[in-house]
Amino acid sequence: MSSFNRIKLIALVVISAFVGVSCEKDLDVAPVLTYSGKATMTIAELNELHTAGSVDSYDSIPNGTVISGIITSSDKDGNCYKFLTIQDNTGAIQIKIDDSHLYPKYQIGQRVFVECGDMVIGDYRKNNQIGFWADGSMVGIASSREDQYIFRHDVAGAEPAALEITSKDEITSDMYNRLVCLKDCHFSEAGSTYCNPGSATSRDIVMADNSVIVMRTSNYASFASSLLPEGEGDIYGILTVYNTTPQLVIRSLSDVRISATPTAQTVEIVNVDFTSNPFETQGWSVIGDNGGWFYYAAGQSFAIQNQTATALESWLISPVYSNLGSYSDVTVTTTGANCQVTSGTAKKYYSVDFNGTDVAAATWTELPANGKLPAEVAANPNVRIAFYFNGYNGDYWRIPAFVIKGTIIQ
Amino acid sequence: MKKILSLVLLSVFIWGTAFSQDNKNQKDSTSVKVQDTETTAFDSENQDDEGVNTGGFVPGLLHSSADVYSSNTSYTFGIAYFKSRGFDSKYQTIAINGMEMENLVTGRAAYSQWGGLNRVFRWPENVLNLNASTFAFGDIAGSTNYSTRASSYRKQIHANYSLSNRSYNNRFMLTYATGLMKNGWAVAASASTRFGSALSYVDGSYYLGGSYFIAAEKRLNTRHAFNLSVWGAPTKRSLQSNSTQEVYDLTNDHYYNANWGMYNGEKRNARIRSTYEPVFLFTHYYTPDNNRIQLTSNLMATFGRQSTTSLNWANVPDPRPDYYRNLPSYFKDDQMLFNYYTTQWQTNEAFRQIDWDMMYATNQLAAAQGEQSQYIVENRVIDHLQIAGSSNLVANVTDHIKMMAGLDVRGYVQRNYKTINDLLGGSYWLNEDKFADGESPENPYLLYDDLDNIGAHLGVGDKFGYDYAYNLYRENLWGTAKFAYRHFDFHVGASLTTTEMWRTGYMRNGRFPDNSKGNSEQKFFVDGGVKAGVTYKINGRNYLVLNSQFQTQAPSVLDAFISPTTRNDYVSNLVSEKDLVADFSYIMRYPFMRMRLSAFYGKFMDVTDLFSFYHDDYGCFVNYAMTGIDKRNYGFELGIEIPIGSMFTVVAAGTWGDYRYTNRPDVTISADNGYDILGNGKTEYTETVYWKNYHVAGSPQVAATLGLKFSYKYWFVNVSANYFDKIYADINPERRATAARGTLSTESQLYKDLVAQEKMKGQFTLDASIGKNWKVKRNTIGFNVSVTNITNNKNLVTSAWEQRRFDYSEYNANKYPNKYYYALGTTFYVGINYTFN
Repeated sequence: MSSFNRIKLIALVVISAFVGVSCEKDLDVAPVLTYSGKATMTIAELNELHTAGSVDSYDSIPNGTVISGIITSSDKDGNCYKFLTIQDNTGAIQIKIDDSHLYPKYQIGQRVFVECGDMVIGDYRKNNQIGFWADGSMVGIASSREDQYIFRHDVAGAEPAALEITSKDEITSDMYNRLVCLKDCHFSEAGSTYCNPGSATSRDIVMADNSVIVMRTSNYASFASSLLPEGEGDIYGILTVYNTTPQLVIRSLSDVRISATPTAQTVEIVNVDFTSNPFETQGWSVIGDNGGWFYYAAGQSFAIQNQTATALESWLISPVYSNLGSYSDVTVTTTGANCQVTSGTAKKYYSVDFNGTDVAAATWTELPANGKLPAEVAANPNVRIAFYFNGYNGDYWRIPAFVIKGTIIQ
Repeated sequence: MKKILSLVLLSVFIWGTAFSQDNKNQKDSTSVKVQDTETTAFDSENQDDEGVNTGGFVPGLLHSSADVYSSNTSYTFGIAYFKSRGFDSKYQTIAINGMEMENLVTGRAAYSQWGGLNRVFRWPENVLNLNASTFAFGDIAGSTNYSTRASSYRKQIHANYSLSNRSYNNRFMLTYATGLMKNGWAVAASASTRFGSALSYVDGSYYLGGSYFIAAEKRLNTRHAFNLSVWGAPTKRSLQSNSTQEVYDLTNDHYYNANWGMYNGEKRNARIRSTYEPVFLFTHYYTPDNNRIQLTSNLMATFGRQSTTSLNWANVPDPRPDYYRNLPSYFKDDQMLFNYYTTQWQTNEAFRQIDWDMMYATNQLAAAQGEQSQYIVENRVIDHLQIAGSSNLVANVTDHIKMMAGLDVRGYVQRNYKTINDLLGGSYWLNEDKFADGESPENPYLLYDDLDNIGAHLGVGDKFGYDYAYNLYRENLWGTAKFAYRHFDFHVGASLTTTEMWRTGYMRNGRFPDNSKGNSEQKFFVDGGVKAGVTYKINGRNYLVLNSQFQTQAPSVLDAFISPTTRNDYVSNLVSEKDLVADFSYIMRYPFMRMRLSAFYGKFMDVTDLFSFYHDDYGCFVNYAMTGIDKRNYGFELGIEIPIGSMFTVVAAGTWGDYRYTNRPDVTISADNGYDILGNGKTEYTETVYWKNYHVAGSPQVAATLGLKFSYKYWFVNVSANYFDKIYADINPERRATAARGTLSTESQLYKDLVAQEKMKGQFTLDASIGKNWKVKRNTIGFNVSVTNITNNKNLVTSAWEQRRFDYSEYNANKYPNKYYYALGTTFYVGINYTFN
């Protein structure tokens, strides 16, 4: 082997080594936090340990008690302050914590275990909480001790399904502290702020059956000065109680799902004002028997009248409306103060094949009672509207204005 | 042997006692191995007047002019803080006259001990990588041996002046050597001074250094010679701060230095490092008449002090201008404040530098009310004493066999403490840990760093904070045999080392009253090493070389104690680290081309690492003790030189490496003030670090240079273009543990931000140098000019690291962003020298 061949060989080995090792390696991943123990009690069982009295009170929790639940509250927007709410399939409870800024650590949907054997279950104005009792009221877990009591378990999942409520009358005490959804409701004070300046504020939520549930919002909530929306829809939140009054506490504005969907915009496409006499200039044509349509100045309208005893058949036909295709629900109406038909046959037709002179050769279809043009007709650029009248002995039809409306297709 | 040992032990004891009694005058420093916060990048002190870099960032071993890779990369890669093969400098053996210069505490030789003495510390004997050396067993990153034997310097008077805009501006150096005189004496001496900072890159810099060297040798006869060499380099210089990218962007300056502020019309730097650690080295050379063996024996004493000043403060906010609460980003939620801080940072120099006047005013007010100084300048002092003896034997047993053996015994004491350097207009200082205050009302003594002097009003020069010593003994015995035959050369070697260590506390700390003062338990480690290598000489042009080494090393004493400043507790599971390294090279030497191509592999196991840093959230020093770290480095090196005509040579050299962590070590995190870190009532906790396959930072893992050299009639011109890549930020182990991940999904952005390891952009630099020497009668005059980073690339990151703090309140990895040092832009060095021969 010559030395150059050797060099080649070595180069080959080196290059293949480079190629072989250059692939990127998977970076290590630390395991997620888990809790190895088990819940010893359901939240409903925990709640049964305490019965609220006339004043705030507490009961002890058996040593070694562990409960588990999914977090439903968040202090991100400042409305759920210094507490967490968790729920399991049986019930829900508030955990009082003397700490703000909990949300990065305790996200909605996060399962936690709470070793609450050293804690007590009590109430604040009959809303159940776990925490500690000091000087006649409940106090929270010290922020530096959180990790001795609350244990997160696994990656946070979705938030639990909300309990649907359609009327205040459905509310029972076992629903307190649960995530709920008030269905088909609205704010009675839409347009007001969520909260008055300086203090927590109650606003009424009116349910479909007109029963009222209070929404309570802290003045420290980031959305305190936002406006209550108009309209109807669903509102999510934690259902709490204050003495005997159930109160909904929303976590953020996204809990308020009131359909503020903008109403489709209906516009006038054509408005022929017959109170002046635009008759000749706007391309209308009058075709038919003697008499025909005329401008009736006294009544400020367009009119037709037959004084004779012989029936008279007359057509008033619009110009082509070629722009109706960009609207839906195109509706033709005649309006105005003196719009009236005394007697005789008055009909509104549309056609897409009138040639401008020969009425008989064209196909005429009567407008339905609501005046709505079929979509395919409105879309036709040759569409015309016609007013047909057949009467005698003084029958007349007066039309002060003629309007075509439609909804803008988005 | 026993006698030598006892003698050394006795001397150490006597010196150590002397140290401990010398309180008032001694200043202290921390040996807390903070994530290296200060650096003097790319010192001109490492460049000598021949334009050769002699150490510092890439110490000498790469200088082997015979090696086509090392000789062409050592200087050019220095700007990027390149470490050959990614091996830390503590894996190099640096010796003088065969005496290892390693500082037993840091594990590294302190080049600053001979800073400015470039003329006498030059042309060392370099042994690359794993090759066998004649003066030591040799660590895995190679060995270097300088000679200070007076007769090794030829007779001369040499004068040199140089001008540079790197760490200092001016250097004068004068060297005199007699050569071997007829009376059997030889004397060599050198003195230099380094000073000036007006041209420096970094604002607020300061530099003043002096150096001296004297060596005298007496040849008694053909067999015996004695050499005494003494040198020292008292140096005082400022340190540069490091900052986050936000600060660099605000100041539009990658060299922004937060350490200074205007005071009495001058730039005053709060971080000044003073170093003076002289060395006395007495060497005996013995060469019997048969010339078959050489025996070199040394006695060495080094002692001295390194001290570093720093701001400290009591019940007031952190006065450092780039403290994160003084930055616009801290006010990101308040547009008005954000704009205010941004504008101030961008336009107001006083705002972005230290406000000395404010500190003086505050202290004077406090003094008027009988209160302690609120701000002081403290001095962190490290005093050391080392006594060592060694003996090395080189024996040419036959024409084919050469045997080397050595013995090295040494004792080392390092005392660490803090003193008050300046009360800044105040009246006194209290030796209290302000952060422990109130943590535990039931134990008021928590507050005091020195229980034996509670409430003492301390003044300038008084010790406070901590005071402790590291005590170390090490004994080493090694032997190597080299065999040279027609087609094969090979070597085998072995080494045995024993290490003893303990801590002595001199302050009874209020948090740890029972185990802070007095001696800790002693730890004893027995370590060994073996090496073997074979060279297949295909012919005189082509060689294949396979080298290997396995060794164990006692953990550094710096990594041995959980919190050395406060107590005697060892890191648990303290074991020796194991290193296994091998390389395979093909070397080609043709007249038309020289080349070396190597593949290397290094595995480091059971590495221990301790780092301490000030933790803002806990308000105290926090210690991270990591044990059982495994790392793996492998890669390739290629060096090629192709001569073109008689005057030009084209050079290409480069390396591609892959340096990674390969396991999941443990980290124990504890707080110095007894802070309940996890909120679970415990002051420390241990967790597993999931960082397998993450990159080990500290050096570019890709580096390449392409150059052209010209030389003709004592002229030389070199130009090289260099490229650096795979530069990673050093990662924070805490962010790769379960506690930090919490319950984040691996898909979430927060998680991705949390664990991502930043990789810097690859960068190019361009260097050039020119020089010429003339003969003037018997004398020589010469000059050389070198310009580094000609394109003024200011974006080459030399070190980057994740801050050790982690924001548990928001799981926001960006709250404490990465910190960076950048390589200097264009720098120059101009040297002229005159030699009287």
